Amino acid sequence: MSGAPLLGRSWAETRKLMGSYFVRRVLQSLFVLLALSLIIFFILKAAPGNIAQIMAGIGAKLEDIAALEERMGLNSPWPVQYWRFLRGFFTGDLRSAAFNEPLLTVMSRRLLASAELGVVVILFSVLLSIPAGILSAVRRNTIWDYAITVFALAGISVPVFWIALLLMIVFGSWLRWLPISGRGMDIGGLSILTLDGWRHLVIPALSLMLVQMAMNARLMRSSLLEVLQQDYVTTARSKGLREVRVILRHAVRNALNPVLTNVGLMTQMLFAGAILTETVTAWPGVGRLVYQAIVMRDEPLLFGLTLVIAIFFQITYLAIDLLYAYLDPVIVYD
Amino acid sequence: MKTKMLLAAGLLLALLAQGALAQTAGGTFTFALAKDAVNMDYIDGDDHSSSIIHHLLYDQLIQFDPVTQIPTAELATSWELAEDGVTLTMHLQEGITFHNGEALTAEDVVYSFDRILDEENASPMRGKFAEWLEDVVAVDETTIQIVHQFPFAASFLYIAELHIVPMDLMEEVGREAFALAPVGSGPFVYTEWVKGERLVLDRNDVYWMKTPNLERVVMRPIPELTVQALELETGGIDLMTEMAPADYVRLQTSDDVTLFTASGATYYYIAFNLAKAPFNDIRFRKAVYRSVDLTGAVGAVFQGNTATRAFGSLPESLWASDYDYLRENVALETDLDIARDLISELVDEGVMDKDQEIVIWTPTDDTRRNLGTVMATGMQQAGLTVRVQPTDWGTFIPVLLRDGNPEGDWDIIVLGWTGNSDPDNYMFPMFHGSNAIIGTTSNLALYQNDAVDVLLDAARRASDQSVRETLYVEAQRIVFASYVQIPGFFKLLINAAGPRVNGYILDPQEYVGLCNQWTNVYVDD
Repeated sequence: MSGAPLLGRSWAETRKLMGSYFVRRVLQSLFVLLALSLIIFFILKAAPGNIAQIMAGIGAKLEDIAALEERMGLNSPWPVQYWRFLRGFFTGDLRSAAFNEPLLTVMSRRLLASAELGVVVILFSVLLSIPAGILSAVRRNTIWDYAITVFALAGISVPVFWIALLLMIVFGSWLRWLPISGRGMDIGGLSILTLDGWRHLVIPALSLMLVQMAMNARLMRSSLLEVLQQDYVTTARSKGLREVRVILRHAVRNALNPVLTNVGLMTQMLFAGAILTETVTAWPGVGRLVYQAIVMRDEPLLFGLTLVIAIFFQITYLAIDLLYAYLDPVIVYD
Repeated sequence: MKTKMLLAAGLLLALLAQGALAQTAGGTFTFALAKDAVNMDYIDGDDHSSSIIHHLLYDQLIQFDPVTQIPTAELATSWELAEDGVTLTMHLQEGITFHNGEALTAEDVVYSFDRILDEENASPMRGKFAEWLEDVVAVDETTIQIVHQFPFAASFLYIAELHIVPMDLMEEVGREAFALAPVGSGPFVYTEWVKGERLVLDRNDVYWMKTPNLERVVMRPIPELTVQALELETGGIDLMTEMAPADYVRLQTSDDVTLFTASGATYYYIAFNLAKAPFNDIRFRKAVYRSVDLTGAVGAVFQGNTATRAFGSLPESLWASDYDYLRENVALETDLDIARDLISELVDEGVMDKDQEIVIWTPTDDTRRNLGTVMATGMQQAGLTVRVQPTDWGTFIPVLLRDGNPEGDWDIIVLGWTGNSDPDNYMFPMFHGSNAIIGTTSNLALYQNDAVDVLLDAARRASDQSVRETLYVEAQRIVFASYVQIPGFFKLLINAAGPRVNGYILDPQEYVGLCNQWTNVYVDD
């Protein structure tokens, strides 16, 4: 049965089900993370080249490279190194090889910067794209629909870094309304707390948003169109409910599923795809840090970063799954 | 009458003083680098970005004049080389203090050298000093002796690189803690480093040489050069140290931006792997040379004359550069027929297969990748099967080091070598037999020629520049006539400054000199 009244079971029942589900999911996540840490470690070790060779540079003598490798602990047996990484990750002792600073120090500011950018992008693109998608579906084949569709097509087709450069030229160089690159002043690590911070956020956020909005708007549109065909919508209409109430309270709520899934995927893309935007706009985020760490073969940093990002994803997926359960009582976790 | 003149003079002086004071008013100078710095202590490495910061934080014994390239006094006010050519005595400036107030004495200088040489410290800088340096000794508080292993005129280049650190502080806090709060004696003091965002230095108010005009210096890492150019034009930064050819051409017509150019110090070249056939056959190398119009390609790829063709490894403007002779007599004219003939010969003799795939390894940056592509295109026209392999640096190095394969996995490489103001640096590492060992990162081709070895050894030990020049010229003629390398080009060093900047002088060694013997940069407000 699809789409009965929103909470088809008792509140207590829901809580109990979600509770045990939650515990099981956390345990699953821990196992996944452990396996991931092993895989990452092997990949890092199997890759050619190491940080000592890179830091020594062209022209260095072989014995100097060897001495540096020894000093950086690169000659220890792999299990020893792995244990050092894993233990160091949890105690906070693990240091980036390139920066010679604890991982937390290196990562925290960058994680915050990426999170800031990510949250702003997700929030605004969802806030803008869902109404756009609804409008597009409800006013199907009108000028609104066409306009939004064209915009969506453009957003998906144009490379994100090209948009960023264009925005820089127009808003930064010609109009002088916005700063060209970098992150603004922050209070306690958060630049969204300052006006300068927001001004610096506009260009990177807009560049990333356009693609996301395009996809979400289209998803919302097609999902909603499908839901509007459903029986319960006809039922609601025949009950005499106002069209607006039908759409917003009933149809949209159920049409949100695919959009939510996409939000989950969006967070992924924001980490991976953001590296291009971060490089072009000089945004000091995690994407660029990962890239630099790979170029430098900074194994401890890569190990730590991968685990942190994985943990972040696990939390995101868990949150989304719980949100599904809240929104759609058909989904029962047992 | 006299009183009036005195008054007038006094007024004039006051006005002038006001002008001078207004000049030293302060301000913040911001410059961009494509790569962030990596370390704050020379012992950990001298990558380009970090070196720029080192030169602002620390002092050295000597520095090279940006125009004449002659060693000039800095911490060392004067020096004498003994008759034996091996003992260099240097006299230190008195009254110098580090940023933490401690006095800089001979002890600190000796310590700064020793820590690099000490094997326990595993410094990647050790090799280049250990090669020629015997010992550094403090004769008294203000005198040191640098004892060479053999007479070596080029030692000044390395002495000029050695940054002086405070011994007491270093011993007290240790190397790692020091790197987080570095202390030097230079014109600027370390304030903060938010990696990936900004590195902030403040004026050293008690700098011994002169009071820096600038109150604050900020370095911003901005990876894209086009974005740097936009920032420069909108006032977001005051200086760029690197420029894409397209932006260079565009900015030449800008009123706000001042461009500084000098011939670059990096020699870009193509090298053959002499450990394998057919690359060890001079006919093959000649064939490759003849199949590419490198001069034309360089002109096309580097618009606006931002690169000049090289015919040897020395920059054209460096003494001992044999540019004209090498261009007229050693460089080969493009001739696809000759190239094809040579290749047929080699195939017929069984030295190589007709369809043997040749791989050109390059790093991933545009400059060298483009050079590789140009080579490949030409070689393909001569009938060879060629592929370009752009490789990320971390993967590239083990290949260069011949890790796991003494013969080497690479056939041809495109690389760059950054030298400095002495021919020794452009010749010895790449062409001397002592470096033709597995695991070298300088003599990658494993080139070895006894006559050249003799010449290079003699040239580095000689003290008379004209003698050295003769020796280097002869060595170049032998080396390049073997075609072990095909000389590529030197890029134009370009710096661009915004309208606020005054007094900036371009340093061919590519450091950013904001307060030194020759200038004291200031900004308008």
